Amino acid sequence: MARYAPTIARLVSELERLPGVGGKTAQRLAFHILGLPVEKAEALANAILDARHSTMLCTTCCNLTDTDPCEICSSASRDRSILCVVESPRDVAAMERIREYHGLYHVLHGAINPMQGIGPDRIRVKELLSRLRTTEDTVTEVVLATNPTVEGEATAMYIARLLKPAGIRTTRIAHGLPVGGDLEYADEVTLSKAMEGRREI
Amino acid sequence: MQVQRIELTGFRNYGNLDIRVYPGVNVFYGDNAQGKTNILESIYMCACARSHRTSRDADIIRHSDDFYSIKLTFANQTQDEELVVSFQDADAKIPERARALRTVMHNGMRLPRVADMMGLFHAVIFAPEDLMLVKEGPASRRRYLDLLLSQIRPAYFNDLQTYTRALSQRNALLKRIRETRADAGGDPELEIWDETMAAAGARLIHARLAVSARVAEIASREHARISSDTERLVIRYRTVAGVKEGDTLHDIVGKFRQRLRQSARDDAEKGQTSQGPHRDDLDLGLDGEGLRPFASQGQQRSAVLALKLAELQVLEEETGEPPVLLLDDVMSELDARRRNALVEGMGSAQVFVTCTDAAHVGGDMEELAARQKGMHYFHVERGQVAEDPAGLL
Ligand SMILES: [Zn+2]
Repeated sequence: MARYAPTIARLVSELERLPGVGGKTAQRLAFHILGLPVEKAEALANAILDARHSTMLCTTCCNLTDTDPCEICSSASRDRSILCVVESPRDVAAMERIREYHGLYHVLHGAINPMQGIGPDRIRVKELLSRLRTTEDTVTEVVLATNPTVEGEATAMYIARLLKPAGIRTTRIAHGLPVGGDLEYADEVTLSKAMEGRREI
Repeated sequence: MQVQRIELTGFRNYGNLDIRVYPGVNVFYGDNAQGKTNILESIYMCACARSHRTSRDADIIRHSDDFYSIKLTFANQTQDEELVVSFQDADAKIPERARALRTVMHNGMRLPRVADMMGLFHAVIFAPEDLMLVKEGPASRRRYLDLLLSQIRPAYFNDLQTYTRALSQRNALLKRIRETRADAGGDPELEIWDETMAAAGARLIHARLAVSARVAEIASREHARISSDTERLVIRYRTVAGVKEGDTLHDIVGKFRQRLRQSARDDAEKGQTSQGPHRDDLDLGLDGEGLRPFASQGQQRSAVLALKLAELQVLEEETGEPPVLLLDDVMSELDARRRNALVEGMGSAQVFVTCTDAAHVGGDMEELAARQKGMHYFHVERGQVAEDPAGLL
């Protein structure tokens, strides 16, 4: 990298910090940007700055937002009695795409993971508890929609235990068979999870 | 299970190999270090997703390649199947390949997880490495149970992965508790990992207890036929204190959870989890005057052979068809009595044998070959395999 002028080297090394970007990709991106007309490069830089400056965490649900409280928290048409707890803002976007869920969210920004030094204090569990204590809404159900990984399950269990004394109904989303798939083509692990999560009809 | 065709690319000393094999007995013969065992290894990897010789996939790639692939065409009771197991080594110079990539394709469809291949193809291998079962520590015997159970119940493999992950997380948390000098007793975060380990761990223990009882019964019976001495082979799964055979899954979850809670402070001091299926063992011994370890090499060989024959029979019982049998240079190590027991135990399975002397094995297996659909010879020399109709090449 010593071959590059200092300003170019700086751009390359900043790009290299981005997730999923290695040295070679960073160089390719840098030279792509350097080849852009000045106004295009400015548009890119401004988009990054505007997004960063105007984005914050919603003080209610901790989702990324440009208004506080966020659009969902301030909406009059949402069901304020149900709260869906997810690991990341991307999970909120995924849930919103299905247009079936009309309640509120709470974003943890991670899952409990001791190997990475992430305890419950490093994710937004405290915020969830104080929200449930102080909210004017009557929350009757908390849906734990953390990922079906070992860490996601542990996080759900941790939160469920904390909420137990408050007497709020907590539920865990089911993991099961993909809809439209044939039972015989489901892999055994999914099938056995689906069997475990069976319910009365 | 019947293998029909084996195609290898970049695998050990094979650049490209494509051979068709036969029902009955397939004999691979040739000098040492020519690549006979590699063929058996590749078949075994389609059953267990791992090698019986190494845990490092990179070791298996041919020197001049950065990629290996095994394609196995086989038939089970109902249909023809195809499995492709491949591995692309990591390359630090290419960002997209910063991590090694293992892929499994089943009938042309990529499986989401390597774990999903468990149970599609069944094989049992008899190899010189089997002696580790009696000579080495508990890890080799847990591995025996884990590989057997993974082939019978694919969900077992998933429980094993969940348990291993939860164990690592609990151990990481224990070390943090030790560093911060916090009290591990009643720590709510630790209790979450206790719970996770208890749930997955109990399923492991429950399955291992049941299969061990079956293995013990069959191995003891086989041992009596193989061994000339009057002592009985006794096998027992030793697990978390208080857990016993016949306990329900629910009982085991409760007992294991309680043990984890009780040992929380001690475990925090050590920075690791002292009890659980990761510490369990399959106790083996001879019951003459009280249980004692194997003294002679002959006693060890008899015990190992009995265990392997039990593995074979349990697999056949559970899956309803004989698994493919892989005999890696073991015939020459056994005396006539043990060889006979082995050949008898094979039933109607398809067999792959390696040896240096084709005529020798031919004699041992004549009866088996007659019972089955013939015997076919392959000469192996420096990574080339030539079918040899007469076995006289
Ligand atoms: Zn909000």
